[in-house]
Amino acid sequence: MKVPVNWLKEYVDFDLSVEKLADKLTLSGSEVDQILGSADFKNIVVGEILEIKKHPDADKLHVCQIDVGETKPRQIICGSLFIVEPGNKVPVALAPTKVGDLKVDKAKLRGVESFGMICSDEELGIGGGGLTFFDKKTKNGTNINDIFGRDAVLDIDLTPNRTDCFSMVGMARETAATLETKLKIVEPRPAKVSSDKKIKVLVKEKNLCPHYIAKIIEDVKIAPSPEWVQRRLLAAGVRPINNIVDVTNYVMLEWGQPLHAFDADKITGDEIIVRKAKKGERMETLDGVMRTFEDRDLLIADSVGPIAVAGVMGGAASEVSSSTKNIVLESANFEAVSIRKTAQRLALRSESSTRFEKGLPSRLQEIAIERAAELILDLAGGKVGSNVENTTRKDEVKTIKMDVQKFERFSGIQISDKQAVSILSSLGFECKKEANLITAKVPWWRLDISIPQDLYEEVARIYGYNNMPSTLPGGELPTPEGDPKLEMISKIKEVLIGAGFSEVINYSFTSKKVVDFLGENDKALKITNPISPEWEYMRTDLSGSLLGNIQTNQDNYNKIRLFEIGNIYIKNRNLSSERTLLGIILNSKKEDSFLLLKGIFDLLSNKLNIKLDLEEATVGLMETGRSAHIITQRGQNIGWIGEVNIKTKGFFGIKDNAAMIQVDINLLRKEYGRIKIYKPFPKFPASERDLTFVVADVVKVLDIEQVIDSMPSKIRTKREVIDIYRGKGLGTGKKAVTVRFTYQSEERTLEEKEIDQDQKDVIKKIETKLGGKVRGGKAD
Amino acid sequence: MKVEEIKKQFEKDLVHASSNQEVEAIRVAYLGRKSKVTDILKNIAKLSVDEKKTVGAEANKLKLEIDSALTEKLNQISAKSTKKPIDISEPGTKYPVGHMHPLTQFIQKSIDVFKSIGFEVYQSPEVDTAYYNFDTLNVPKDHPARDSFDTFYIEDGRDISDDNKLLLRTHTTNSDVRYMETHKPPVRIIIPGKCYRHDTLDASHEATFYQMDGLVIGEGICITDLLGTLRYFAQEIFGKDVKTRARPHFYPFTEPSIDLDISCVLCKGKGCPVCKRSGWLEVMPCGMVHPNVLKKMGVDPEKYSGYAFGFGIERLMMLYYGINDIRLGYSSDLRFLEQF
Repeated sequence: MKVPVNWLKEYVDFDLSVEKLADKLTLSGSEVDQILGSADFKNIVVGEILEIKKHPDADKLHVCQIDVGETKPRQIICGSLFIVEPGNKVPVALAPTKVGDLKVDKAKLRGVESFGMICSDEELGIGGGGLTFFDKKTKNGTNINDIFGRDAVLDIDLTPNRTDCFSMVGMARETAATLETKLKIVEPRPAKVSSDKKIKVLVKEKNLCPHYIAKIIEDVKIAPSPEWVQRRLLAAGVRPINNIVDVTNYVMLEWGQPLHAFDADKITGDEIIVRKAKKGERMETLDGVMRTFEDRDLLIADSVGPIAVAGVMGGAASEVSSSTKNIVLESANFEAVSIRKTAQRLALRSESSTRFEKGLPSRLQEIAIERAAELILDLAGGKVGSNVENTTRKDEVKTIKMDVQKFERFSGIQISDKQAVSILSSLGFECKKEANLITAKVPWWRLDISIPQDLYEEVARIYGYNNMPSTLPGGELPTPEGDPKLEMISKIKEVLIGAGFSEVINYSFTSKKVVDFLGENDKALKITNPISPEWEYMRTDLSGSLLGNIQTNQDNYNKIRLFEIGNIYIKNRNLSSERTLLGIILNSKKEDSFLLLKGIFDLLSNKLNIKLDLEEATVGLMETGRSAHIITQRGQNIGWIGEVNIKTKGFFGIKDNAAMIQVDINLLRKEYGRIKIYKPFPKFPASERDLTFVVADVVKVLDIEQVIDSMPSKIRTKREVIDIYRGKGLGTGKKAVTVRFTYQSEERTLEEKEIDQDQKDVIKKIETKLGGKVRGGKAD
Repeated sequence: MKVEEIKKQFEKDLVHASSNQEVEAIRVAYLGRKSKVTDILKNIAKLSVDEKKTVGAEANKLKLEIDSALTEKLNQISAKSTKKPIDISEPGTKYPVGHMHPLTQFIQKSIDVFKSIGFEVYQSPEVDTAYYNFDTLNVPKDHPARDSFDTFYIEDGRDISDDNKLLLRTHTTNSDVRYMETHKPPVRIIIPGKCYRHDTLDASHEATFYQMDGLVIGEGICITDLLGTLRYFAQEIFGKDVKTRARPHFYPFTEPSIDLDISCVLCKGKGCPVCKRSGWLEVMPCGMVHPNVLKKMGVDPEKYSGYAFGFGIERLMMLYYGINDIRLGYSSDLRFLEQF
């Protein structure tokens, strides 16, 4: 909503700077987004164009000689964005100066010197969007501050609940309450009826049009509006057309009620019909576009066909033109949602539709039609007919009780009854006070007020939130519940980041292509209204995201180590089930990607204090024989690890080898939280022995471990594979596996003999079970 | 052996020691558990009272002398160290460096602030029903926010007006009534999480964003509590010089509704392109929970009151780290991530 400050002053007295006014209004709820036309222009003056020539070396540039009130004209180069001709007076920035953020200096453009710049409205930040031409009587060299400075316009972002503020009168009420000054609003009196001409009104859709007033005015004289009307309309962002159309717009800006004027002689029949469109019905709107309607759209029609899209835009055929003599004035109330839907569908948001979309009180139609009649009589003359009214809805008279003590408890501030009453009264509430209770009658224009909390807000906002102190919530504290899942997630992030992995957050959206590749078509939730065909589905897995991330980074980085903890979404009949997964991915130019990642898996299970096993398995996108399921001690499968297979690498365009882990966080969390218990140090020393077994390559480490574990010993406390060697000296198809054994007793220092005996037993068992040969011997 | 003899023998031995190891061996031999000095002290009980006095004192004195001689010897040896100096400007051994996503870092920072004043973290589904996302929050059925221009819907065979219609939550406020179905006041929670709005992407608009909501319900919770909490948060995050400004606003689920602005952290309130020259940044929508929403929560609005707030993490994170393109957060580009 654009509020010209000078216009505002017609309704309310105040004397403070525009900036102060803007601040105060912002803090009481009418947020001033920007102040237009009040900028302090330095060295920007009125200049008269004396001569224009084409630039000798640039087709799109012109060289102008401009009289800027100096002894000699200035040479200034301009583009061809605006058409200017000698005699025009335009805003000219004199170099060196600044226009907004733009520095204007003396410059040479293609060899020709320029000593300034012609400034568009946009460059000056004054709205309008073209080039301002000053009156030819304006003196050259006049600082444009003297012209614009006095006509500041507040551009206000209104909240959708405050329909009443979409008008000068509404903003005047707010201003008066905010500044605690007097309001000078006069409601118009009914115009004197001087004609008995009437038009019938038939409202077929009473729900969509609860109130319709039509009035004929005969013998009007169409002419341009006087300068003060045009100036105000322009300042508020509305283009002046002729006195009749301008009055309808003026009254809309003043009171917030959109009006429409039809050329009465272009209406066929003696009746205005408010009805729904027939599907496919067509009409040309005022903007010259042929519109086709749906059966939900509300139309204003005569006996032949549509003459306006209700609340949105008039029809071209019944437009008021220079030849119009008689008019029908419409002041109506239309149902908000219907107007919004039609305006949206036709992509035709107008000043009118934005006001209807928010809902209007019925009283407003009566005021607006009388105000319009009064102004038309003034500006265009004519004979006024009486109102033809069709109404099914009266404004509700609401009274709300406000308990001042409750307000104090609710707000945290102390306020006297008198102060509360004074604030409410300044906003138009009629207040009665009994003991602590204020009974407030809600003014007809405040459709947004219906409960005591609404009154609390009125008092609090005018009192000023910034005048309120800071406190913290008191009283009883909630019992903390804790969240092991979040705690575990933090721990995982800490461990992975410490190990050199970086966290990514990916979009939850994915494409049909990826969903098809993963074979998860039945599981993926489909979005009805995606913003891109690449984002038609919700992801069912982290692998699509993380594999894509390798592709994103592989041209810039050789070593990529990433992880994500994020949600996936699974279709469950027609519901959704959401799971949080951990995905870890890395790449490698070598064949070691699986073991690199398995190391991270071991690290995580150690730091989380969760014992997890791997179980060879086939995993969708992974190499067969290089992938496994991750199994808890309770035997539950909670995820997988594997080396990405060639087909998957091809699909995602991944160059190097890659391996990935995916784990269900919710399942992992069931294992989390085991507290580590301190064990005292052993009293007696431990002995370590390393044995290297040369076995066939097909023999697995797990086989060796199982053989060792099958012979329990009281003194052998640990065994760990510490090295695997393949190559020289072993022969093909062989490997050397080094196992470190730890021996220790809690009761005594062990003797060499006992250890030797166990080592012998182990060696024998491995030789017989796995055919391995031992190399090397004692370690200490 | 007599104390005096031990001392002579010790001095002889020490002269020949030339390494740390040799000095250590001498220490074991003379002061260890099975050493000569220890022997004397162990056998002291067998002596007469007079002898005890003299021998005990001498032995203890010797022990101290040996100890300080050994220490001095060690110092001499290390002073003669043969290690050559190294070029300390050579690069150190490289260790892998991982990076936490700036969104996570900012969320964690925020959680820490709220935890310090008694809040707990709660989480709710991203794919939710119209009931929790809109209906329970006093958003009318015909509200523009429900349009498919604003909200992503899931193909689930339901009509858009159905309470159970599936959608991508547009705010983490969808937690509020869900949480209250299983909890009673007093309540203090924050709800960080991913949200979605139907928006065209550019440097300052995303269809995916993180929001942090807060909900406090209890007896006597008031507007100044709300203001105090958010002012505290702003100063904890952006420093004590940051100013705040509360403006009346409108949201369906709160009454009154407020927008809390902070002074622009880039220009310190002087006015710059980021704050559109106003000196203020609009960052924290909030308000007192609407009585209709309290009723949906099963909370008696006559007895309890509450406040709620919800702010976009990206906006604050971008200001905090000077990030100029909101889409970078979801780019997974290491050139971005490794800066944090």
